[in-house]
Amino acid sequence: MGGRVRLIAAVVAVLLLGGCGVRSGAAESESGWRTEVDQTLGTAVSSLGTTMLLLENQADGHLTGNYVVVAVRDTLRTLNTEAQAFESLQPPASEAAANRRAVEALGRAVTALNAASTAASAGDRRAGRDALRDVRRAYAALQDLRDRLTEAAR
Amino acid sequence: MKRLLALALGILTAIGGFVDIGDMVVNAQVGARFDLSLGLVVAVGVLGICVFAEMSGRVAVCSKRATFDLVRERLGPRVGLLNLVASLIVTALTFVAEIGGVALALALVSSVNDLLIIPLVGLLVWLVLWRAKFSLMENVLGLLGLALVVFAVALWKLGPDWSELGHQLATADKPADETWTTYAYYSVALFGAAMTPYEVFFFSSGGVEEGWTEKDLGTMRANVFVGFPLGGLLSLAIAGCASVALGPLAIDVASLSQVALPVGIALGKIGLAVALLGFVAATFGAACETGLSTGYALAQYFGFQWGKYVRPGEATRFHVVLVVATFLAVGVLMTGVDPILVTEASVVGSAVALPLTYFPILVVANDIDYMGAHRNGLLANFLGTIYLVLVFVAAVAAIPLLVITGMGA
Repeated sequence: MGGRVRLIAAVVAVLLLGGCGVRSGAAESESGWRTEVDQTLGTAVSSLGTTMLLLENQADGHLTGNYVVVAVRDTLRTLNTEAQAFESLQPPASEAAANRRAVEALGRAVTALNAASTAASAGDRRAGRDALRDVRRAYAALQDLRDRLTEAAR
Repeated sequence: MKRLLALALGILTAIGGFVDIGDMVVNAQVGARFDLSLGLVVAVGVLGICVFAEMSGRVAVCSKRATFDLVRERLGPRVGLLNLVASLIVTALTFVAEIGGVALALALVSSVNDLLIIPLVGLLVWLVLWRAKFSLMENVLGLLGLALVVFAVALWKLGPDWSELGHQLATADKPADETWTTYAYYSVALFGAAMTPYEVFFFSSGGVEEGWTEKDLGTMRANVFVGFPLGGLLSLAIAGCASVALGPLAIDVASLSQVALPVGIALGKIGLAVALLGFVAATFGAACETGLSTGYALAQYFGFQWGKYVRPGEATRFHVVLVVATFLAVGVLMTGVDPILVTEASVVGSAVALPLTYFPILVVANDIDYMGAHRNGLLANFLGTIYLVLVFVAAVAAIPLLVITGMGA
């Protein structure tokens, strides 16, 4: 009985240590972080750009409602996955401020896409126009941030 | 007249049936990121599939037996098993991707979550594989796949700078913000997508199913050398649309919905509806082809009765394989895995498996005992050898490039 308890305790300890090992990885190197931020912001720009095209063309009557609902949902899912992975990274100390700006910008992008998704699902034209305005703003801001971070890396 | 109609039908079916989920996704990804600078790779891949499809079709005509059957007999069970395993893994992966593709396309029409559609698609695919006549399945889905011509119309309507597109096609160069390693990765992916192994096995097994004779050699060659290249043009049209409509906004293609977007922009709701019809037909057709190909591969290697030209009761093990493959494919997709990721993995996996698939075909097509007067000539051997070198290079480079670029990120 005691042996079994010790075995279970050992297994739990190994699992916990393993889990800690995974979670408490070293900070990214500067170049590794820059690659990650460039890729993540690139995905965000792509998702926002797609949503922009979708909402603009839906407003012009070029796209069906069902298609727009699914397509915006796709872009939101892509961005969410990428943003969550980025937020779990530990940036190098020298890039903490830039990392914070990137995370905030990604948060605004996710919010804009959420609003777009809700407007598309509800078929609400007015909300769709508002969402389009926010998506355009977030797209321009992210492009700008990405350019500045890329420029700073050179 | 009847023969001419059959010829036209065969060519149209070959065009419509050429494009599958891998071609659609990878061409749109490449178009959005690299414009048409990888167009030459598509052309090289299409010529390659023509060379080997013609060879395997000729093998079917001359021997009245399909490829796996002969590979095992000619090269022995060990080499045959290697060929079987490599092809089967890639074909099964492609089968999963195609079923997922049908579900994604139907989700775009209905806005129902694709996870709810997947079991229905699996059931429909299995019903078609079980009940539908081979020619009916091939012709109906191939002809409906022609709806993808809407991408060529959309490209024209988007009004690109044609001389610039022509220049991109003729020169192998990359955009300034891309690296040569990602360029090489997508070259391999495009090559793998164009030369997917199942196409050749399906083509030769289809020849046996339809009872091709030497009289059909001309029709078969017309299907391959006219139909496949025109199908390849559809791939380029998809890339062109993505390049013109998505590239300027720095959009990366990560979903099937993005592939259809340029058509909606250019042609509105009707164009979009036609594109979605084309998606459903192309992926459903390819799902049936890959599903059958898994059954063909196993049955031909192990030597049990196969095919849709016999009643299901006379080919029970073949039909059990189809049921199990469909069930497994649906099961994999129901875990929530992204069908687009599966597609990307399948085209790279296809590049890895190419030498194991195509080398035995070249050997069998040169065997005078099977082929008689129709064995490979100088040109077929010259092209076949060049392509073997190419597929070997692609196979060796595929995995390292996948790792280095993080799947082309």
